Amino acid sequence: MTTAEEQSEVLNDDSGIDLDLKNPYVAALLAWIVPGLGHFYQGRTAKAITIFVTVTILFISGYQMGGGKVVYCSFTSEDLRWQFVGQFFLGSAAVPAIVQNRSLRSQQQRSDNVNLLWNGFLAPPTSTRELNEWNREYHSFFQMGTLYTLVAGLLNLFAIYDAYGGPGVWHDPVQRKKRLAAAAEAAGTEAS
Amino acid sequence: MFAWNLFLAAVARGAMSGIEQLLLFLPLVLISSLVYGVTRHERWPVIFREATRMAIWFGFFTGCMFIVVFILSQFN
Repeated sequence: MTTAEEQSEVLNDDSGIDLDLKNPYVAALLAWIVPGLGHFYQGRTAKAITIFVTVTILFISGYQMGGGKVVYCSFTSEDLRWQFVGQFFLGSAAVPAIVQNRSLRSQQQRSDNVNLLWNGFLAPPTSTRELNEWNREYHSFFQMGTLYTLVAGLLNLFAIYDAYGGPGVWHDPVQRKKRLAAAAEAAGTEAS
Repeated sequence: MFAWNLFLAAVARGAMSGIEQLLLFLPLVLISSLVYGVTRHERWPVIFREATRMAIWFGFFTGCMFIVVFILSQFN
């Protein structure tokens, strides 16, 4: 017979849930490429759908707000795009941005004429003047779009870690102690 | 002057040009809380409880930040 308090504790404590994370490295890689794909691979479908829908909505909203200019990779002295560090955790967006940056910089080293790949999709600004034009054109929405895409990337970092190491509650010191004690008790009962 | 600006911001639509942009903060808070809850727990009732708790905390924290920045902006 369990008391209401014990029942409530069981409902609140999900640290004892047993999960098969399959290959955590593969899950983390899949989660980096597409949000939620790592969870889908592990059979955690509801979580996969939630992560995919929420992170994608946030990313696409931000991308549209900034006219498709807010996600790019650039680490020059004139344009140090530190926000890309957060956006990097959305792999499907990060890889084309890195390719565009490498392509643009190598062309700029060779000559003044540049041909951007894929009609300039996720390409960095070719000059400081162009970056200023983007800021003038989109005003605060350029900053807000950058923030949305940055937060989407950082949230996907949480999702990647969840796919790799299981839910955060597993790593909570108090919950972990309880979980290990319960496992030891179960092992002791089994042995006797 | 500062008190007058506060009053205008509270009641007059004309003084709040662009203030509707603050609504963009809502999806950010809701999605961040939900994804945080999802990555921390496995059971949905616990996830929703954690997400609600985080949404309130984020809202309170960013609300405080907004008030501080708004007050500082009055002294420019």
